[in-house]
Amino acid sequence: MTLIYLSLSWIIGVYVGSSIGLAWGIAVVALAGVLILVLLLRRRRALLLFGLCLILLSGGIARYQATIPTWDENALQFYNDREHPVQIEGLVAADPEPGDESTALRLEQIKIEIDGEWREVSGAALVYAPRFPPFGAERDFPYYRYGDLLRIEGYLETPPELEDFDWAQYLARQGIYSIMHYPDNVKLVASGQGAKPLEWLYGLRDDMSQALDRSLPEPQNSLAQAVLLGKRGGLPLELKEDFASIGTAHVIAVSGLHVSIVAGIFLSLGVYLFGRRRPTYLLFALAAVWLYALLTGFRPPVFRAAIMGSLWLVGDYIGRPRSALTALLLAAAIMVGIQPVLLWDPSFQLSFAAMAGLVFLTPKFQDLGAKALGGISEQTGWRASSARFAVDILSVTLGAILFTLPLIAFYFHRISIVALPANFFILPAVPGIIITAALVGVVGPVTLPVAQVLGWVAWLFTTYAIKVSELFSALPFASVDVKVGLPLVCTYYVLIAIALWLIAKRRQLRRWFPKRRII
Amino acid sequence: MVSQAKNYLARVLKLASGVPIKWTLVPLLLVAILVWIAAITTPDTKLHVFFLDVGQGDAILIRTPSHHHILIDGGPSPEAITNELGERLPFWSRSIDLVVLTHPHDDHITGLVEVLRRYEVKQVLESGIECDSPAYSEWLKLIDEKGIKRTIARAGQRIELGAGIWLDILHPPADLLQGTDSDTDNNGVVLRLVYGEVSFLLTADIYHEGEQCLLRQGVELESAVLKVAHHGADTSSSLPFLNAVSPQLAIISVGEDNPYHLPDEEVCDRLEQSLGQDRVYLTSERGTIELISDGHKLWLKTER
Repeated sequence: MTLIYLSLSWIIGVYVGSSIGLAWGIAVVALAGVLILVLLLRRRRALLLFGLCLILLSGGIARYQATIPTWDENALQFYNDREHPVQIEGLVAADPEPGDESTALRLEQIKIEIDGEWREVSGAALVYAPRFPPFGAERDFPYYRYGDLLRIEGYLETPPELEDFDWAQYLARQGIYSIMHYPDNVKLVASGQGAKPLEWLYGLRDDMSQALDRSLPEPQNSLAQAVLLGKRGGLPLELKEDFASIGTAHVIAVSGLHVSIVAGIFLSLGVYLFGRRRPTYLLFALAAVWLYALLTGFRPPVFRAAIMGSLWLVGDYIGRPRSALTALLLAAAIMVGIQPVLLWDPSFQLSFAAMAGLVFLTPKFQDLGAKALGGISEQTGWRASSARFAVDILSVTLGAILFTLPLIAFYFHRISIVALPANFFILPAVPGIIITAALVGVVGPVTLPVAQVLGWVAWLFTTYAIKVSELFSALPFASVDVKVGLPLVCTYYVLIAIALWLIAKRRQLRRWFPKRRII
Repeated sequence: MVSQAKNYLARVLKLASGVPIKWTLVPLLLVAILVWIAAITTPDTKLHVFFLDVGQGDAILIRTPSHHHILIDGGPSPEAITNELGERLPFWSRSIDLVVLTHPHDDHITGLVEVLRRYEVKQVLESGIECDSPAYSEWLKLIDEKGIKRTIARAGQRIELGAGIWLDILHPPADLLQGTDSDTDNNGVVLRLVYGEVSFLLTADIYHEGEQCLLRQGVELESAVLKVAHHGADTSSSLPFLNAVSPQLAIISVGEDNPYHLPDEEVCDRLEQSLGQDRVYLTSERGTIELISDGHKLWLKTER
């Protein structure tokens, strides 16, 4: 419980920090401190807890204040939207993402040329570099590598706000305030300037990606890479829209869903291999989860889910499996601490809501399902286990859908009517895609023909997912447009909270209102 | 020795019998499904020619009755060509028998570089005109790295495709054209695909100069289907050339709302006058256009 209060204080602090200045924040916190001191002077423990909460609250405020970007000549975005092209030099700081026309690069540690002098500036840039650079002859696809030091010339632009998507905000969350399209004179100054472990890891990721390219046809290959490696560059737009319109977008965006599947697979494998007596199985599952997180290029949602998953695994081991809420809030607090702007990120809020749904609602639906099944759930045999499997998938999906529904309606103005059946049919294919695509990616660099045969099985799972998504999105009522304001969203969550509270206090309520009197 | 082997075999059998049935059930089921899908989706034994919808560029896929695959140009987009191939090739196949690069401009080569990278290409055929572009040097590098057989196309060569189908190379001539408006375009590889009474003329991006050269040679040009040269631009498709080909169907491979405003209106009028209305098909309007033939008849299927 203590951790819940502390995590919440920190998160609230960051939120408050966005609307009031540091001085005001300290004043308010100090006032609250005095008030609590007076009220709780007698109760030592509570006093300590509230004291810590207040410290974290002000810490959160300060943390947010520290992230407000500066706008002077030492920041890259100061040179945006100039009349003349500028020359910059920077380090390719993430895995290059090849797209159809250009390759997206994240440049960091940037130097800019001003009147013949090189000046170091803060901030990262997103560069859409030509697909085939001039130095391509010495390199293999995708021609750019993590750790390359590049010198390029072009126009720095402020990211535009797109019609239905705040791209500028989205990039700001990644510390990017400048973009550059098709720079000229792309020169490779040096290579191998990045961190060695990351270089090795991105190399591995690239090997897997190329093995998949050579083993699977499109669009199955792109789907497999989106699920396994978090590479979404190759996904055809129509396919993305199909998945989004039937409420299964989380399948193609690597997220907590994938991390929990990986954790589940390797936890059972670890228990099978090492037994439960020693913590080896736990370390095995933890290693698998973090390796997967790294393979996906450490995307924020995966990082988040990996933290939550690890806390859950450790909690399970030390015998506190019910502390899921604590793990959730602690993970959120850590993530927000690293990147305060995340708090306003729809994807962050969505995955948080989905996890909350899994924690609060899914067990209730599982109980209901077990009751509905009656005696079958106790039996062994394939009939009982597939019934339990169906109940589990439905409960997980329902839990996540009910908690994310208002947020989806609020941000995307569209909700999916077929989300429940669509998820029911697509979700079981996801572990199959992860396992078979990983096999292809691992075997491919060693022996391609074997990988191509394994690719047939991966093709089967990916084709199934694609066909189901096409089938459901072709339905005339697959999704409806809605317009929802913030008050309605809040009301919805308050109602859910009341309902959950009533269910939790069911016994007490029965005592207060005995059955016969109600009837 | 024998007793040892027997002993070993017995042990393997014992191990195998120890594997629970439910462990073998899933793999067997997957194999069964794959075999069924392969059997159901096996293509027929007719000739198929696909004019692929790859945006503003050219890409033509030929599947012969003996299931050989030939790809002529790859269009401007790696994503478009790989998705089209994924849809048209059988799922188990990762190889293409012949890839033709008519000329090394970006709207023909960019997709092909990606095809070379992803697929096992057995042979390439090209005009041999060099081009100082990063895509072309990548093309040459991949051919060299993968040890792909590279043939330079010259008029008079013939490629036998089996089952009485062949590809005649009509252009470029042994002495390449020089000093034209665009030597790269005018020396593009022109192919005539012949199957019984049905033939296809694939004219790459040649201009009037290239067309006149073909007319001068006096080679057989008459074809049922014409892939209109240079995406229907007014640089090509002169009336004498159209008369010599006298096609029943014309296909123009163009992108929707392309910045060059192709196809040219005059060229379209000229085509409709000589072929008749409803005989000119655009990939931008119809999507991928598929022509099927058994050597006597010709069937047309379009995506839209």
